[in-house]
Amino acid sequence: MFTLLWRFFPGPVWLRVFVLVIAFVALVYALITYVYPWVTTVIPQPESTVDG
Amino acid sequence: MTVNRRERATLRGRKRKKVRVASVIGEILIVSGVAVFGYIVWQPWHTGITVQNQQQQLSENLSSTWTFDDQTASSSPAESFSFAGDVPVIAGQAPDDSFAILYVPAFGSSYANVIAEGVSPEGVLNPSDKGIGRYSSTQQIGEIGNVGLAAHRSGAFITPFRDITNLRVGDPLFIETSEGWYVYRYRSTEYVAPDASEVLNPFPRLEGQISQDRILTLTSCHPKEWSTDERVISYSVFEEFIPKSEGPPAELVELNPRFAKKVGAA
Repeated sequence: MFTLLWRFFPGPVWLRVFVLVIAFVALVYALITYVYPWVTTVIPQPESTVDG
Repeated sequence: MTVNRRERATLRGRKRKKVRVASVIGEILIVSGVAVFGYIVWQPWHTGITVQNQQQQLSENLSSTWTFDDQTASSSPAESFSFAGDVPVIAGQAPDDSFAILYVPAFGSSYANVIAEGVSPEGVLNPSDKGIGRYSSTQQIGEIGNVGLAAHRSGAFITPFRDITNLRVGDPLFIETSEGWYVYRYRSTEYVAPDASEVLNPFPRLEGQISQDRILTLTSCHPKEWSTDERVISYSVFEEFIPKSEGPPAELVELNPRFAKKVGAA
């Protein structure tokens, strides 16, 4: 996969590194903004109330 | 002279390896694993820092709505003040409404979290702009008896009672309302079964006993991490009431850097 990604982008090495870093940052941003908050809603939540 | 592709690659000092399916799958698994690990890092950072900072801002906004029309309100700490009248009772709040603010220096010096009415998970306990709920079946703030509050201690949603076991005997807890400040002293903690609703009795643990104190009972889950086996119960006893006009309690100003700054600026 890393090899395929590397070959996917054209251009000199510095440009490829630059584009891949941008893509990585975008991926992390998407995880924090969309994926992780969604995961929060689907995993079970501990209860903190007492009831009889 | 024609140079074929392979030789050209060699001339540039690069060898083209064949991409194997197994290595692609392996690399996807590595990336997924790192993403899952990222969640474990993100979650405490999010609930502990982002949400808690948001709560401090929310508390400040709520607090400012109470002092806005009262020009006589003092922002200097209430020194050696003793309140002679009846302690005001806070009542009439709608379900899920934020109506008070809890300050507990033992949970972090600048800790502040709003208190909302009711303990519904969707309405109060889970949303990051609420977090702490008052059991509607318990007494009102200021009333003789027991004020029961619930909040998460761990998990993916807001966790206002994360550090509930940090409380030590004599630690102050402050509740700010539209009327003023209610100061409580932490007394004890116990661990009970999830159905032990008698901890919320006006006289905790005793049936039909007439209470003479104002008790504050915090309930949360135990053991701390992701468990529903037991509940941790923390009792505090009301000490004094300070009206809005007297300014924040001196002890809170001393312990909380945000109040110290406000007083310093005034």
